[in-house]
Amino acid sequence: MLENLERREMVLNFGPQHPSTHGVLRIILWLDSEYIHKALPCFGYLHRGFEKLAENKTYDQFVPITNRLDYLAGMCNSYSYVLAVEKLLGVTAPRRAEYIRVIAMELSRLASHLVWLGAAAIDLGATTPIMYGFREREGILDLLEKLSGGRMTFAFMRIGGVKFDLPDGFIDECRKFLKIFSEKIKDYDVLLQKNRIWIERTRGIGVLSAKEAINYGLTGPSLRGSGVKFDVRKNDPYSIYPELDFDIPVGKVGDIYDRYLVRREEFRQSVRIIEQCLDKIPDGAIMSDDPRVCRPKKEDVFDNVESLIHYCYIAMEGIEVPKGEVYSRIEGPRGEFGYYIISQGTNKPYRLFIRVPTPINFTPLNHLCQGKLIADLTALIGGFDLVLGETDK
Amino acid sequence: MGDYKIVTYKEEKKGLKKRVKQMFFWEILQGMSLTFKYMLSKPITMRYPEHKWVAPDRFRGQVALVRDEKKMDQDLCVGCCLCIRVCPSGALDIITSMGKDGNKVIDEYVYDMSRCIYCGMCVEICPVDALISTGNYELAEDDMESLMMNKEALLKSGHRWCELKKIMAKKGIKSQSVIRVKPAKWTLERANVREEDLEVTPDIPNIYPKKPM
Repeated sequence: MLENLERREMVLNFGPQHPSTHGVLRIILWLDSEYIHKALPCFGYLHRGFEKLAENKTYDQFVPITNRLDYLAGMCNSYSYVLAVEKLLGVTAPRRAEYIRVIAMELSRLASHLVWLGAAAIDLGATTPIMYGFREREGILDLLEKLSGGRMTFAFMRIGGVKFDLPDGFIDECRKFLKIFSEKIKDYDVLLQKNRIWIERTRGIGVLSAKEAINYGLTGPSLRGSGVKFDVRKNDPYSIYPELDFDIPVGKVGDIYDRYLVRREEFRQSVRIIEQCLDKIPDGAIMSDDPRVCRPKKEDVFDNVESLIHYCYIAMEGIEVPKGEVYSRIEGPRGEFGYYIISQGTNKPYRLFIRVPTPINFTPLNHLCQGKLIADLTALIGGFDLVLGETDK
Repeated sequence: MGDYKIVTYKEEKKGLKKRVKQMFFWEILQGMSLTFKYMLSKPITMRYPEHKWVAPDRFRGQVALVRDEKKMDQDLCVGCCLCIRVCPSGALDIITSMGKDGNKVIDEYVYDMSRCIYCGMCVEICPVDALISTGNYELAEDDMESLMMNKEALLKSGHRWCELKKIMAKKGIKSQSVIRVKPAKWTLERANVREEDLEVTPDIPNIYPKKPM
């Protein structure tokens, strides 16, 4: 009789339709009743072939497509790409453009973390925080819509500058928003910080030591939650970040609760960065005057033959980038976001590789899942802040 | 400037105070009271489609062609085809021929809305500003055929949009505000909205810039 009751492993598909997989992620689970023996994530349901796409587009044309990678923080993706091409060209954007870029990127980071906060909480059964998170995010999207003309797909960065200057009244509106937002952070604290269920579900779950986190190649808040002091904004500074005064939050224990605390502190630091930028923003041009990237003004095109030729040349042939290889990296909301470009001196990249943080942050999943419950798996997925748009590329 | 800042937690000691808090679900009560507070305040959402969001000036909705305002019979588009070259998704096409006086004549202008990614590159590049990005964001259609637009449809669309903008300016409706359209029409731009249809909404209280007029 008892021989028939032996325990057998069950193979289960977690996703791609499961609501707490943040998109179309599929995880194959080997289960013993509700305990996980092995977890194997399968990516690729949202694969759109960005890297191949880039080889067939001119450098300019690829800018709007970069927004579609990590759709929660589109500004950061475009900036990383634009930075790589600028490095190859040897062009630097004017200081006003850099300030506008940093403001846009930090607003993007806030919007991304707000979605994370709501999504991570809703995975664990707290349905309220996502309402408040989206309320604040709406304010950010309105600001970015006014600035760039898009709510999620901005197409705002240009090689050598930005597309638009700040609109009228943007600085005041942004200040007003940040003032309200700083107070609203307390709402999330009330809902999550001391909530017994949230603490029970996140403390001590998914603990990664600093050494393990480095070995798995984690970046961003997931790495800093384990207590590693690494942030590209500090360790490999770009743009105007060296001039700004901000702290990098670092955790200690390395569980989901610490990662939550790190992201929560990043809200305040991002607000600090934006406030400083709004105070310091200088006047001047928003586009580099380098003739390789800057088009002549539209008024000159029909009066001046040289301008006409120059305008049409850049529009039709794109920007010709000198031969070479380059890697640029920035600190996105989820970690190090980089582009590796090989140029052969034409107007299209020979090869473009995108280093995205999410799938690499997700590699310790199997290690963390073993012997845990399925309920902990949803907490883990929430804690690592998945975005499938950039995972599947 | 600035440095690393350690944020972490400590396991709380189990004292009498914590026991009492635990017994009475103190944190849950706090969360409930926050929700209750917001339940009593006025809603911050907009009643779509009765109320509509006026997109900002830079918004990149459906693309449309405009004509010269002074000479209504003449197209602004000169057929330089730069928009086709810069379009990342290949949503545009132009068919041109030589006219009687030796000028370039645009026979057909094809715009495939189902391919368009609304990046605004064509509008940015157009040297004569013949292309505009309308604020029309309600683009759902029943069939794919309706998403293909020809020159006539694009010109009509552009004309309507300009008229709508004039009406809005006359009524004092700013961008990024909420308006009411009577009767509730699904698409502002295609529905031939008249001046009397547009109505400025009563004040909907809102904490964020989405303040109605």
